[in-house]
Amino acid sequence: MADAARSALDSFEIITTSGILLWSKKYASVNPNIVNSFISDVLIEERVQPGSDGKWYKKDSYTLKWTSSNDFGLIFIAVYQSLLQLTWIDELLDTVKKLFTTLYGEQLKKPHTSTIECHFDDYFENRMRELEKKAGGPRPIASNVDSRSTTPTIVKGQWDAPPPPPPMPGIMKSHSKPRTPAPSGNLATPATPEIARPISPAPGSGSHLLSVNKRPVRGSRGRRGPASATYPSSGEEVSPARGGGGKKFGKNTKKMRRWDADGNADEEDPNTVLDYSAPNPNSTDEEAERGRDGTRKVDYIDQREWGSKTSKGEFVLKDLDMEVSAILKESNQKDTSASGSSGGLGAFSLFRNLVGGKVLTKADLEKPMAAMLDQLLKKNVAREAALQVCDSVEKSLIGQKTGSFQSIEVPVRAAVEASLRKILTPTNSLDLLREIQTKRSGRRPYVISIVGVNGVGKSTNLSKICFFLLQNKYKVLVAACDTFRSGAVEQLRVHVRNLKELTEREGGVVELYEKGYGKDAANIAKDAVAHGEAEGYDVVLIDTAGRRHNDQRLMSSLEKFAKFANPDKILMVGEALVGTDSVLQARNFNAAFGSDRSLDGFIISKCDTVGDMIGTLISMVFATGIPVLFLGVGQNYQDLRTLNISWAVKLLMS
Amino acid sequence: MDSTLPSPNPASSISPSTSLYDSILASMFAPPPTVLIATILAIFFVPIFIHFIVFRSRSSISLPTFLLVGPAASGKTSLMTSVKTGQPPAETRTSQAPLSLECSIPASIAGTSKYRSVNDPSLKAHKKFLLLDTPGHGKLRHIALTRISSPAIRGVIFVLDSSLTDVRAVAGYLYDVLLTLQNSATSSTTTQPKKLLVACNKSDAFTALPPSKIQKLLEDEITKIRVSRSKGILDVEDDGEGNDEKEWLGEGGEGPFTFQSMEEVGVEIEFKGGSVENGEWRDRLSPWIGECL
Repeated sequence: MADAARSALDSFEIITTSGILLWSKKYASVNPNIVNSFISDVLIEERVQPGSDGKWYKKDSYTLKWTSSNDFGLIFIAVYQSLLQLTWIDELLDTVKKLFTTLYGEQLKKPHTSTIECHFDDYFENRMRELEKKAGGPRPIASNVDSRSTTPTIVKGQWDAPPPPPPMPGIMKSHSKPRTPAPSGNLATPATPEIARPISPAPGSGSHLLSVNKRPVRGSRGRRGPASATYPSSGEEVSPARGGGGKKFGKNTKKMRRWDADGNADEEDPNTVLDYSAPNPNSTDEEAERGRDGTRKVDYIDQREWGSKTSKGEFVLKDLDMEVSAILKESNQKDTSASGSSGGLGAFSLFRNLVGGKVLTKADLEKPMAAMLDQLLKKNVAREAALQVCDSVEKSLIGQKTGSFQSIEVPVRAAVEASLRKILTPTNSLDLLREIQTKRSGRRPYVISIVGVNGVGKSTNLSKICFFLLQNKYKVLVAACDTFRSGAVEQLRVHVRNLKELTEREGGVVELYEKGYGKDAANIAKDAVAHGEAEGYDVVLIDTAGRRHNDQRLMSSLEKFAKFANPDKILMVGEALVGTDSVLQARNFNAAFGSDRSLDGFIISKCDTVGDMIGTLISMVFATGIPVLFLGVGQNYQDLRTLNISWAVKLLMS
Repeated sequence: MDSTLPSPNPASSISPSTSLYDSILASMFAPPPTVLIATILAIFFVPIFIHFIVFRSRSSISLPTFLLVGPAASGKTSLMTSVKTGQPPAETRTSQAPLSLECSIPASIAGTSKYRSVNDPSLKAHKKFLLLDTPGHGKLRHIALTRISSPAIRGVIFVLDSSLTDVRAVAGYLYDVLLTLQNSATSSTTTQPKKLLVACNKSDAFTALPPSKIQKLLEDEITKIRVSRSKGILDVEDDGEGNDEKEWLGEGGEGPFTFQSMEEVGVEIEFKGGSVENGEWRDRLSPWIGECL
């Protein structure tokens, strides 16, 4: 356990989709909030961190990698420090998943259970060491070059005199071990990876150098012990125990040893040689003893202790190791046979398709998923969004079992529906009135600004919102910040005049704030907010000029605008008519307000003109994770609606 | 059948004048042994078979269920595991899927037991029920809301964090839950009131508020939400006519909202404080659950 505490991994958790932590291994304390925010960001809201490609998640100083097992509803999460470049995490996740589901699958299938009996620690440790050892070779190369100081090179010079100087310690190690027939060499090598493994890359490289050094045992033996001790201590994370005398070293080697044995049993990597040495450690020990001149007493004792302990430890471990490798092999075979047989057994699989109760594979899903993709594209969902929705649905379905007498289409359809529903459902409440009530702090009015591409209906939707606010007896100031297009201010003036007439009797107050054409929009907006504050307006609505989302020059002014006007809500108007471009429109506008500001919601206009082809809703929300606030459904002031998610999903799936 | 049978019946051979009709009748009353056995077997096994079909599908849903709802990170999953085991809860993470656990309480505190004699042996037994935990994340709340109106649900437990850092969010969710409950209560034919327990969890925290204070804050907030929702913009599918009653929480009046007033629309609400960490909820929930059973 002591060496485990220094593992590169910070924690490993196995949780169910229903949120229960089934098993975890903590090497360092990790705040559960890290995992929680990972679940809500990535798994629920499906936000992909830029550059991660959905493969990892970074939070604070941690990196998370995960894999999930759909048939059991399990998620496997590995947490480690972002500084470390661990190449073996994916493999660890994969093998742990296989092991865990094979060992405890039965228990997990029972209904109404939250806990399972598991003694998974040993299995996990087993895999960990195995992989860390395997990765031990390639991993330190980089760190060796940059992080290690001069010490290793000096040592190299000292010890590697007989063979030609090795270019890379890692490579050298793998070559040298098989070649050396000398038992002493055999004994020495296991020690090195043991030191290397638990420690992070930097010390690891040291240990590899060590192994190289030790190979020519004929060199003075007395120096070997101290050398091994000092190496790790030069690394940053070595525990004080490690730095101690030969005895401690001996213990370490013992542990190391049994691991080698494990490694030999199931993997075919260069380290296999160690395996063969394992069967009779006592004899090798004696041989080594005899071979030496016996002058170095310390050394002799070390080896003695190590050997005997090895045989004991190894025995226990061998069982576990064989079990683990058997399980992995079995599940691998299952995988291959499953993929192989999907084509054959035509009649039987046809029958299974009819009867149901079939475990879904990628091949099964191909056809129904293609049909779903078609369906989404037909509804004017942008191709990029449709593909990603289908991808995530497919991933979530593989491994699941269909119900009895159920065709594959049924679960696929249900999963797509659930996915669309999840995309459209906002994380927080979208009650605009309530928000205006609570957010109005002091005299500052609640500021809403509206942006969008040319001709999508910014001014129209602004007046609709204005009408809605006036009906609720708010005092509204409309700021005309489109100082570019001729007629824009006049257009707003007409709207304001109409609204005034419409709502005068009900007590609504609305004014237009205009400064003509050609001025800087950001400044006008700022002045409008100041004016609204001075005159005691409740809400300021800011209309902006339409701009093409891929015109850098026009978009860049939005950042200044957001800073000057500091709107409480920035709404983007998007046409329901737009197709593939919707994804980019939403993304570019969302990114245009600088790093600390984003859009707050979409207004999808012209929904009455598209019938059931409302795919733009999905595309825009999917691209940004920002909810749809309103839908424009007609030409009149009252033709503004909120989104009804079941309605939208129904239309999309019809 | 009759055509294949030789008719050994003397009745038919004695009176040929009675024609075919008689012979059919006769053969029916004198079947060969194989048909007889098959018939008897069918008579015995068909009802048993039907019984199993009917009751197998029945038994899986007949267990009374209590629904755990509430905002994320309020401790729903923890509460469920601690009620199940009666001990401090297992470690949990954010839920993404619902989970039900079978729990039990002593039968002596179940509602129907007050009519039983003290010596009734059935009091020693345990009443079983299911606790159904639902995800509290904003995007997944529809899972809980669609299940509330299911007939198997005997009661709803709304779990919240006693520190009440975000009253608006909590009240918003509670409003949705209450509205769904109200609608299912008014539309159902039974007069049985719907029951809601607001479990103020994490009462051991330093910033925790007492349940009475939480109740007051939530009432104030729901009053505001009620007003703003009634004035809000209609949704796309809504034609704006005839469903005002479905949208207004509580009884008709415009005044401040009280949880008391929900009783008039068939929803009974109770507040209880406690902490999962101390493993208190098993004892605190048992009486309420017993009442609902």
